[in-house]
Formats: sequence, C-alpha cells, structure tokens
Amino acid sequence: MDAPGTYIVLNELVGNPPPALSPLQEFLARHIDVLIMFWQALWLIVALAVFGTVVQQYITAHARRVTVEETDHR
Amino acid sequence: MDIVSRVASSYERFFSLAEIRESVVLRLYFGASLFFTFITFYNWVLVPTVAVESVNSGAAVCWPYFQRCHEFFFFHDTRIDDSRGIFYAILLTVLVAAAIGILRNRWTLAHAAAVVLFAWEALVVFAFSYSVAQPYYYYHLILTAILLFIPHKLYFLKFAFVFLYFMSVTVKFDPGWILGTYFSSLAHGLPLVPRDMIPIASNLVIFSQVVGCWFLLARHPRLQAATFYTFLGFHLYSSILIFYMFPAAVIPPLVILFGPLYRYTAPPVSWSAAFGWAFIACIALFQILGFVTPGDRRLTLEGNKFGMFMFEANHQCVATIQKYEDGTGIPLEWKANRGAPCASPYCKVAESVSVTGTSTISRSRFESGGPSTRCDPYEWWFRLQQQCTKDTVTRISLQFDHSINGGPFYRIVDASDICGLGYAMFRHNDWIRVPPEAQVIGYPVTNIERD
Repeated sequence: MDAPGTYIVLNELVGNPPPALSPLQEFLARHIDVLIMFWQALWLIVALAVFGTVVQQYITAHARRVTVEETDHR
Repeated sequence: MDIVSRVASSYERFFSLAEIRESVVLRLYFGASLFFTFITFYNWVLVPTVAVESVNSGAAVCWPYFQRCHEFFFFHDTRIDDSRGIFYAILLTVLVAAAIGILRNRWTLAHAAAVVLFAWEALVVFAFSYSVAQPYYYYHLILTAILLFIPHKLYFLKFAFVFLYFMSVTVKFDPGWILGTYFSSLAHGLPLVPRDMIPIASNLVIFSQVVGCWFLLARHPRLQAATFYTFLGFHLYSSILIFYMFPAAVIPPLVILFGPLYRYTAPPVSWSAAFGWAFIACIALFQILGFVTPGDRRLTLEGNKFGMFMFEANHQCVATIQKYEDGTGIPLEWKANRGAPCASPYCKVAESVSVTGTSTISRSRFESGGPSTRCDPYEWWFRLQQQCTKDTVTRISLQFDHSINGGPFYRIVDASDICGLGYAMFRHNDWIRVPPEAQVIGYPVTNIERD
C-alpha cells in the first residue's frame, strides 16, 4: 500500500501488473482444476465415511441397548 | 403441585433441561454462550444498524428475502431519544437474570432468559440486518439453538461444532486458498509464515477442516487431545489476523466440548434424536444455499451470506455514486480525500456537489476498508434504493469495481440508474456483470487484513 495503517489507497487505472505468484503457486496454478476436484472428491469421501460411521455407531449402540434390555427382562 | 410448578416442570421436560442440570460441560457451555451474547450486544448497542433512522443514514441493509424489514424497527438513534439504550438495558437485565439462574441452579429461569436473548440475536441476524450477519453470529446461534431447543444436547453440540468446520471448508475449494493468493496478496502475507510456504499452510488448513476435524470426536484420548490442541493453536494463531471476535465465538465451545473435560459421547438411540439430525441437515442446507446462485459468488457476492463464508476471498472495491436531484445546492469542487482515515467496512474518500441548470449532482466515492469487507453490490443497491424514494431524486448512478485475491479490478456494476433495477435471490442479477463482460479497469496494490 502507498500509505500504511488506517489509510486506503487503491492503485486504480495505473495498469500495474497482477501480483507475481511464487514458483510453488505457479506450479499449483497450472493444476488448479485438478486440485479443486481433488479436495471436492476427498470432501465427498469423508462425508460418506462419516455417514457410514454414524450409522454403524447407531447399530452398535442399538444392539447394546437391546441386549441390556433383554438381560434386565430375564 | 401448583400450576406454576406444573408449568415449570413441563417446560423443563419439553426443553430437556435435565440434561443441562446433570452435565458440567453443558452448564459451562451455557455460561460461554451468554459470554458471547454479551460481546454481541456490546457491539450492537454502539451502532444504530437497526434503529428507525438507520434507513436514511444508510446503516440499514435488509436481507433480500425481507426487504421491508426496516418497517419493523422500533427504537431510535441516540440523537432522537433514549429508546435504544433502554432496550439494551432491558436485554442486559435479562442477561444478568440468566447468569443468576445459572448460579442458583434455576435452569428454567436461565433457559427462559437465554431464549429471549437468542430471539433478539436471531431476529437481527436473519431478519433485520443483512450487513450485521456474519459467520461468528451463525456459529453462536447454531450452537445456542442446540443448547436451548434440541434434545441430546451434548452429542449434537459436539457433532454440530465439527460439522460446521466440515461445511465451511467448502468455500475454500478455490484458487484463493489452494494457491494461497488470499494471503500472498496481503502486504504482510500470512503472519509468521514465509511467503513461499503460504500455499502449504493454506492447504494444511483445508486438510484439517476436511479430515482432521473429525478426530475431535475420537474415542482415542491422545488422538483426540492432539486434534484439540491443533485446532486450539490454529484459532489462537488466527487471532493475529482477525483479532478477538471470531475466536470468542469458537474457542470457548472448542475448549469446553473438546478440551480436558472431553469424554466420548455415543450417538443417541432414540426417536427424539431425529430433531438433532434434522437440525444438522438444516446446517448443511444453509451452506448449500450459498452455492445455488450461478456464477462466481466471490466476485458477485450473490448468495454469499448463506452458510459459513469465513475468509472466502480477499476483497477490495471502489463504489462511485452520482446522485441527480432536482433543485440547486451549493457548488463545490471535487474534494479528494485520498488517504483519509477509514473505518471498516468502507470509507468515503471523496465527495463533491455541482449544479447544472436546475439540478444538483452529488458525487461520492467509497473504498473498502480491508480484505474482509465483502464488497457486496446488493448492500449498495439496497442503500441507494432508499434514497431513490425521495421526491427530489431523479436518478442515481453506481459504478462498482471489485478485485478478489489481488486479481484485477473488474467493473462489475456500471448502472446509469440503479433506481430502476431490482435484486432477486438465488438467480444471477444481470446488472451485476462478470468477466468477460465486466472489464478490467486496473490492478490493486497489496492490502492489509485489518485497518
């Protein structure tokens, strides 16, 4: 920024080039579509895994409760 | 049993207050929730966002689904009378009553008082003020709703807290986070992180929110504790950039629910758990609503206020407004205030008034105050619509230039008369342009996270 702290100066209409990317950013930028798809796919896989885990926990907890109820009944 | 006791007993059962009474974690979280309510109202009492006069002053911005919300505002600005102070004094009294209810173990009193506070916060955030609505209020309202209204509170508080991390990461699947340009376009970069390492750090955050967060719910004590301290460290670190507000919403529930008091909680096997799961589904739906509108929400901000939108992009924008009115005013030359002190979210950096014939043209230019200023064209549209209703105003033009993550400034709005335009939810508004129709008009300099 031209001025620090609480001052706002936008460098409008001066034709500055976009900020340069670092070498790592440039490498990642070349594969950005694949990387976005990777994170989206991982998110979906985790969502399914969590759903499956919760269902399994429900089945386990339910079975344990049924067993306890039957034991109490006897 | 007298009628009062029977009503109190039914109230306790209906809201499952026994769960709070019997759980030290829930009791602590009740106090933490009140703590954030106090912070919230401490902020709100200072600004006239939902005062009757806020419509004319431009402070009020209603949600697109309730654009006449200001007709329901009831207290006034402090320059008019003391009604705002009186109203918040009443809320403070209710807050103290809730605290006394906690200390005296009278949970019906504490709960009823907390419901009143919750109702006002929810009303302001989701009905009265689009500009106030921020993710830290969403966090607080969502978790407090579970604490107050949902059975199996402890399980669903823990699950919802983690689920919020998981849903909010969906706004990070873009170049701003994967390349780290959000932070590399900041003048100071990412604090304490070398510039070359920024993409690694930002992708680690994504990984922690996609995969890591679920280990907060683990049975294994060391794994769970390691995850807890990782997230605690992350939130403490984030306060360098965002200061205290968001950490105040997140750190107390994190420490109370997942800190040293953590014990694994099995999912409740009961039909009453359906309320909790339905609420979790609503959180998911709330996040998905943000992606319904076609186009780049980071640039157009259409639908962006739905769901968690923390750090979705580093925004910079300039709004240039020309208001044409019948009648003559005092002619002034263009007064450029470049470098004028500016309070977030916007500051007026230049203004002028000129007279041509029998009409007056007022020009003003506003610039955004920091990367977290959302640069939402809807907010400008709404504010200007309120001015359009004045008899003397013939038209108002708006030019709105927006840059994200250090990229080019695009002129996304170039409307000669904003008064004749409408705004619709869940579909793209044609007057908000996107590239290539929106032209590049320049490039920003680096900015700083807070001003």
